[in-house]
Amino acid sequence: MIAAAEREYDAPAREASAATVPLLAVEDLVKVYPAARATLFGRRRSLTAVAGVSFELAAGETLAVVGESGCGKSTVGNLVLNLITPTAGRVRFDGEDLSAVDDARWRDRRRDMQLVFQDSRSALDPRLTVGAQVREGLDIHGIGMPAERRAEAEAMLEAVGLGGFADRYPHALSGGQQQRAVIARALVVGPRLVVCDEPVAALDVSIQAQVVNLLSDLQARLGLSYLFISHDLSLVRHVADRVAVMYLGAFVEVGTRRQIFDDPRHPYTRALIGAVPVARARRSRHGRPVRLTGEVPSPLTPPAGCSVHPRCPFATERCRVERPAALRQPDGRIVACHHPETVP
Amino acid sequence: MSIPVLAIDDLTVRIDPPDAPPVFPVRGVSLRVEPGETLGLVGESGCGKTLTCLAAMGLLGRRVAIAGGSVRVEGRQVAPPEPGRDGARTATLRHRRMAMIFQNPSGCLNPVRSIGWQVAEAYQLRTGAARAPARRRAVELLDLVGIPEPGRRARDYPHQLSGGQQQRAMIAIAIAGDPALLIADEATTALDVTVQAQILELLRRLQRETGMAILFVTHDLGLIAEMADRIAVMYAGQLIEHGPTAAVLAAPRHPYTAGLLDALPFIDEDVERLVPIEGTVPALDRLPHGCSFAPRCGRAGIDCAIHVPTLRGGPVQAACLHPLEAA
Repeated sequence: MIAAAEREYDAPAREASAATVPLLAVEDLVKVYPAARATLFGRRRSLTAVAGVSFELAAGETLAVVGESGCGKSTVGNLVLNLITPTAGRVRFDGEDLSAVDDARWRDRRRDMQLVFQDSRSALDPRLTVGAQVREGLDIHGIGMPAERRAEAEAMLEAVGLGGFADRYPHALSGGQQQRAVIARALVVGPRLVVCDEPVAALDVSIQAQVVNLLSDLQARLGLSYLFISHDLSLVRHVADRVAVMYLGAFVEVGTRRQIFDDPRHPYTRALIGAVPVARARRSRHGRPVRLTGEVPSPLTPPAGCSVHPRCPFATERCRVERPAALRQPDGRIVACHHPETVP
Repeated sequence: MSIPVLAIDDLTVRIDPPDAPPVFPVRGVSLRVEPGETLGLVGESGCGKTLTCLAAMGLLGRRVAIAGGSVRVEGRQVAPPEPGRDGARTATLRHRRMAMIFQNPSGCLNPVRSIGWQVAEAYQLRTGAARAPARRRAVELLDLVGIPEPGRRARDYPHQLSGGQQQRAMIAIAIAGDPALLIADEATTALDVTVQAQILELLRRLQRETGMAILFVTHDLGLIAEMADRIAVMYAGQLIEHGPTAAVLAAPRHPYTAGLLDALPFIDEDVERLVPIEGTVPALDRLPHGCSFAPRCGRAGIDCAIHVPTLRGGPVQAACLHPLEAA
């Protein structure tokens, strides 16, 4: 199975297309949910979960989306995979605009775009053996000869370290093993993009490292692109090439791993990194930590102007009225802040 | 040496499943929490850290019981119950001197009572105060834990508060009546990091102002590093390492503690590859002979499968037959 995926990845057509266009290009993605009326005849309110998110992801690259709960990071992952329908905006995969295509084409495309969930226990069907669930993707997409699919599924399980587990049911697996099974099921169809939504958040530290290593080995071997959604900043520093910091539905800073972690510019990024408790540090952390006051406002009643201003110690009058645009800085990163240079 | 606020000696907890032989999720754990200090109890899920706390609080459920050892609160034995003292007085001693906060504040708060009412109730139970002074004290306590406009928010119900504010209200309930010990069991795990930082700061401030001791229970070594004076590491129901936090984190002596630290990514430096601990935690009904960690341990010898190691050495103590060198 792995051999098949490697062959496919090496195909010249794919190489050529990856060189010219990014694998995934997302433009101005918006998702607005209707919310319940506050009063019987009150105005119908709306909840903006994702407010205009744009990014590109190259083949073989990992882009991490970090943010606190409710910021919309999981919604971005689901929008990219069309598991929920965007209100506005476009998703291009491999140059093809997927916002215009029908369901049949999407089913086809799913083979290239897979998802790994956080909660492996509910992601797996308790009534099917692990082997059957991994095989299911091959059946759905009609990959390989039916007679060979069982062997392919077993080879994939072997590749994630679950050799000999094909006939077990999910309940007989530990949390780490279940997550490996979920990864095997996502990768057996040979995807090029995998959306990893908090893939190790439910696992204990010692097991977490096993699964993270597995994900990076598979990426190196199969040339996968990861959209890695996580709230764990230490982990993101370890896995990501580029990092997007999200707050209340929008990216506030996007940059390379080093830019974000060694020299964060946006006050929210600095607060987020500064708030992570660390067991051991090799060097002193970024020397300008910011302490935010208060909590994330409800997306039902987002603040006017910059979304961070009610919590930001550097907010000025301009921040209260004018929403800052996401501007590209001289070093290539994108920051949505009125005063990224002036703040101490 | 002063009398410890909480002294747990050789505690063993037993669970009797309905149709299986008993298992022992906590075995021979001894802990001391001194007045005014913070002890960090750390371990992965299922290691017995929460059961140890629940046993100390007298909150073990059905089919779960203390099978051995003792618990003393400020020098007075609360478990097993002392002959001659009635159970109600033991319970009073416990709930007046100890309080516990949990991971999930929304599940612990009463949804049909206002926050102020619930804080006042806790204060009345601990101090025997009358209703009116308890209400006034409740507002002061809400102010102390950093809830804005406490007079007005005291009339709010739990669903009207955010997660961080709910945890603040839980802390107000816990510290009403000045307990000597606060047990915080994964108290910030459900919160976002920026809010978590605020709650940690609050706990530190309350400790400075009231002098209470904190037993801080978590799976996150980073939180222990920020909060705890001493650290106690549990694995598969046993205490396997214990010592001053800085010393243990700088040079752990037990291979499991060292493995946990190696498995963590850094926030301030790139690591080429994480070093996981291979294998998984053994199931309680299939514990290996000898050291429970031996099957996953790179340093294990034949003797590890025979002898159960006990805590040795100092100031960092490790329950290991082949400990790593002290720094």
